[in-house]
Amino acid sequence: MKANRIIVEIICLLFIVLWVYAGLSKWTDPEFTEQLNKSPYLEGWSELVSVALPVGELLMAILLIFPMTKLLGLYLSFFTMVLFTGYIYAMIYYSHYTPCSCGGILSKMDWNTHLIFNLGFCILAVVGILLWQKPNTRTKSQRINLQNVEA
Amino acid sequence: MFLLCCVAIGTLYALNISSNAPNRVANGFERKFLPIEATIVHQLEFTTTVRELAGRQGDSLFLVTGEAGKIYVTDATLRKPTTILLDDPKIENIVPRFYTKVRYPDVYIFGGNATSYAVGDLRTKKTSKHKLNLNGLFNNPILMDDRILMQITDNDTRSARFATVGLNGEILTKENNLSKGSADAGFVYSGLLKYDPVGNRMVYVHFFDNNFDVFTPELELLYSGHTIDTTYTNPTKIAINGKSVSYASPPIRINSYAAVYDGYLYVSSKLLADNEDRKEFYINTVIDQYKLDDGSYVGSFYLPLVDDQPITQFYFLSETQILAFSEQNVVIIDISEKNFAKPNA
Repeated sequence: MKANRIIVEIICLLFIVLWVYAGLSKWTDPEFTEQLNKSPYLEGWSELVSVALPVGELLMAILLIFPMTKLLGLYLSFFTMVLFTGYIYAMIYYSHYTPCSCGGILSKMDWNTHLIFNLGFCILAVVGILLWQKPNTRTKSQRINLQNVEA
Repeated sequence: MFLLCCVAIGTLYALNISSNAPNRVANGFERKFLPIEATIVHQLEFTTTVRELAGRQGDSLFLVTGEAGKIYVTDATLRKPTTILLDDPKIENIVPRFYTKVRYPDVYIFGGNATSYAVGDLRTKKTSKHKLNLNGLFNNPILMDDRILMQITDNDTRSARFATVGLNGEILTKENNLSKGSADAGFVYSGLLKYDPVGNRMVYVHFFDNNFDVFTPELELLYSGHTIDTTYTNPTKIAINGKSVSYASPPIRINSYAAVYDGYLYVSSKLLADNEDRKEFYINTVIDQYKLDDGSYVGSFYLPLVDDQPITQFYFLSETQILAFSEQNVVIIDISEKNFAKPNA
């Protein structure tokens, strides 16, 4: 259905904006590694995360652009949002120390607001995946391409 | 999607067990539990986090939230509070880090980052502004009769030192080698300052190691004591970036809060003792009691959680009553008198 396709495209667009903004914010922030060092859960992984995270976010944004990789992008977005949501939940309810949030406009959110924001995007990812997998959502050319791949 | 959820949860679990959270391993000390029962008898919920008990006058308790100049007045039954809103003294930088001290009918509001402080009248709600001549930030202000004792972080040296400041804002006395650490902006050896009126002494409890310092209001060290845990060295690291100082890694707070009453020091500890039941530790707030005459450990007891949240601050109203805060909740806790340790006559 056309409506489903539009919804999926909007969801993908939202994720593209989110990942590009978040990825570039982290990539260009000289204090990002220092901020990660202040996280009780990421302290020992700060060097790896400071590179992998922004690269991963920008990669997901690229995957979401192209129809052939859109579903993969949605799955990775879902996985990443579940990871982020779980991390924020642990920081709020289990952490012995809570540093400030980081990430451009997202730093204006407190931890609880950030949790709700992430949950919202988790749900968007799920909706996008479920709608994308409906046959009528894809265009005729996309179905033909997929059939060729499957064949 | 289910598989992805499992992988995400597994990743988070791995991050959790690889973190340096306290109480993962035995802390190397034991508690002696006093036969004290603590029961919440009154509870009052605010719409925002309660910040401090600013003072007492007779039965009245003066409470403060995050809004400077707004005082809530209640009593030990936690009746619905009346609100006093003082006129805005228009002091720059008085928020967010401010301290309110009530000496009825006057109220003093100090902003740790401000160069002035406010004095208000709780009856007329009028305020006046008074200059502070300090070269730095300050915290832990204790209002004495005619002066303020505080911990000042000097802008030039970045060292945190105790000093007494007159009500005219001028520094009267500075400490002589009382504080540890230097150039750390007070981060590494940060703590909580309390006054013991029984012994006329100040008590400074460190947050990140097991020390507490007892000294006179004239800033002469009487002795340095230890809480019962074994965190003798301070593992806190700081990062200095130009003029700013911040924590380089998550600090592990071992002493959460402290109160002084009737010659005793009470410290709420974040460390699990080796002989302590883990579940009991996490469903209560443990308080360790010390005799201030010599710093000796007396024993420990539990205060209950408040709506499943730990107690963040507590104050003794009497030998058998504690006023405690837990986020937005204020509670009165009755403590049984049975075998309650008393100071020597």
